[in-house]
Amino acid sequence: MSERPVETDAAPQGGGRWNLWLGLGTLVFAAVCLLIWFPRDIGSGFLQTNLTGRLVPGDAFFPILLVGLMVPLALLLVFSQLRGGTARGGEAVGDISGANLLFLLRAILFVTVSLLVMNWTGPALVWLTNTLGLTEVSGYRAVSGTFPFRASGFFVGGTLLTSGFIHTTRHELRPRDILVAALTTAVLILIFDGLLDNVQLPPNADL
Amino acid sequence: MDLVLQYIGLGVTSVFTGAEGGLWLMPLAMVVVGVLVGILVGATPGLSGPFAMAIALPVLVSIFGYSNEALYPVLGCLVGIMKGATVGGAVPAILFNTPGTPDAFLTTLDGNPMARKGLGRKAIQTAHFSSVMGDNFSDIVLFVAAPIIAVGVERVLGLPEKSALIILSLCFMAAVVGGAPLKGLIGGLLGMFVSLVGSTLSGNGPRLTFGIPELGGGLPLTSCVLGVLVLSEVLISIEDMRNERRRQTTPPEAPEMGPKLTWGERGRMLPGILRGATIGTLIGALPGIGTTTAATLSYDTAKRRSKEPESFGQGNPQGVVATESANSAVSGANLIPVMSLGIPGNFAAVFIILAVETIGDFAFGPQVFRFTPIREIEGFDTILNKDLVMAFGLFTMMVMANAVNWTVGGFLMGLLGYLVRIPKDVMLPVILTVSLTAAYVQDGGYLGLLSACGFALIGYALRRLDISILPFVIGFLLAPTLEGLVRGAYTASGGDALFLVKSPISLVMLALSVFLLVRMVRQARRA
Repeated sequence: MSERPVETDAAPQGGGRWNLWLGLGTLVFAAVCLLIWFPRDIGSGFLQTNLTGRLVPGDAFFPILLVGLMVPLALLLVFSQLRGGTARGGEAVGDISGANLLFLLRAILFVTVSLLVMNWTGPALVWLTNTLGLTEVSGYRAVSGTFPFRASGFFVGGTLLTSGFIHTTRHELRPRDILVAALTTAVLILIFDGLLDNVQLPPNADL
Repeated sequence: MDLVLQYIGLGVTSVFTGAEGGLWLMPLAMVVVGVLVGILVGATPGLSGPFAMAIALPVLVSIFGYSNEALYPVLGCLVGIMKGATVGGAVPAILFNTPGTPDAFLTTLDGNPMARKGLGRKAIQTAHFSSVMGDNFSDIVLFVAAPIIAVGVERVLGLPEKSALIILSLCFMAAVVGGAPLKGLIGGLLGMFVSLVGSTLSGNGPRLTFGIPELGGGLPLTSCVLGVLVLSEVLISIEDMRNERRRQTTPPEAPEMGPKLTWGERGRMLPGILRGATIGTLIGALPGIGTTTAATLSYDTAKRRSKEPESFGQGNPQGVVATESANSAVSGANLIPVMSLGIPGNFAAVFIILAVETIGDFAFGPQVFRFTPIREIEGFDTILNKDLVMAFGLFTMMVMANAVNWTVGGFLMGLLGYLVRIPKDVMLPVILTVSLTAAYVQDGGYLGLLSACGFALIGYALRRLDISILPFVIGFLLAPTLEGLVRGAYTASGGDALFLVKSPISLVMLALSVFLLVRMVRQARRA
């Protein structure tokens, strides 16, 4: 794990705008916090009177200090960008491109689909075994503590998740890759489900 | 002195004593496991110690639970991974010119030319010897310095000064890590802000939850750090690999290993090791400055002092000595601010602090090193500072990890060349699945998993926008402490608005914070 921010190729040219947007975004965030969010979502104010009648900090005290400190820093960031024109204004500049957002969207989609498959595989397996006359259970919840039902969703969903991202990195998916994904998921099941008593694999803790 | 020795004795024995009072070897076993895993992880390009610590922590918590008894095995394993990884990273750097960890990059400069000359075994043994010596040196400094600093801090600093110290540390980190001090500090404040979600100090119900009841208990700490540190980096690496559109090429065959390192050669390395370890220790004791800086500084110093500076980069063993002794010395020294002040200075230290915050009731900070007189009260219990016993227990496990590194580490390093063949394009997706599973398992369901995903997106954005991650994470971890200190200082001042600048010490610290930031911004502008 690198301890430095990742260098991006897309950084400098015109990328200074990102710092400008970041500074402006921080100012907007501070305004929203102070004017809308904090008054509605914090139970006590900046200061409050305690049981002995003494004035003490309330729950909004520290958040307001933090957001208050963000304001001058954001202003500095904005002014340094405006004064520096197209130059970097002293701060390294990154960039989030449309391609980056597309990648993120794809990643979110993979994770969401895999989690849905994790959730649906167990009930689907119960329906299938009921239909075939192998079991007679009321639903997945009734067998969510029984192997293989309890691990079925995680096995299928986990394999799908790993395979999906292997396809993303390699631009192809070989049978060997699916095998690696399935084996990894099986090892996780062995560790968390087989060796440990007090933990539950997805989706069993949320039934 | 007697009291110190008594506490050291209690610390050592506590590692080997179970809850029932019998012999307990689990911490020792976990140290061994940790070092072995750390060496393997370090020798695998694309993985690093903090990466493995992030994934190991939820697994270890699942195995050992949250009680005080769990702390030794969990910390033992994490310390082992941290130490093992610093050693293992040199193997692929030397044999295949591919650093296993980022800090082993400079080892490639002389290590790989040595291997290509048929001196692979000598280069690996040089790296191992320098690395373990450097690590041992910095541990000794830690054992001595941490209690002294902590006692000093406890005597001199009150609530406002401690608050100012945390602010100074954050500013220092923002200033030195990355090239964007202003954005780094905004990131640090954002990290602090996010950690307040779901918390309350005035008993008026959880704050900043958007009315979502699941957030009422606060954000799950480990999953959030896992997301912002590990998952975000995995996502970026996966995206970069996808964009590069090229397969990982198979590395060449391992070169001829050649003769062993002699004891005479080891002896001649000692001055270089001492110099590198001193540089690494000094750099490591400052929060935020990583191993790469220490290794670079040490390499440059060794080159400048050498009678044959032109031989550096051509396979000079002193180059390997300089980089490995310095980057390994950082790991022990990084725990000086952790143990004495409760302030983590790098990613490995973050996971040590996270383990301590998650398990039991032990907490790092200056209060740990209070040498309370040990008194046995008949029919009751023994009065002593249990945190201090625990601290000496941790030191004991570090010594144990060093012993494993000395013995098994050296043997194992020679066998690890094949790990470079593990394809990164398959390994990264596997890490992603393991991390998400760990987040779900550790934090009891989708709240943990979704928090990890959410923080992965935050980490991704921070990294892409060149905002340093470290201040964000440190801010996230230190916010509860800082809030407690600031509120306490304000109340103690009787509601004085200038409560933070009334004390000369805190005023100096805050002025230093501003000075650091202004200087870094100006320097960056000139660059």
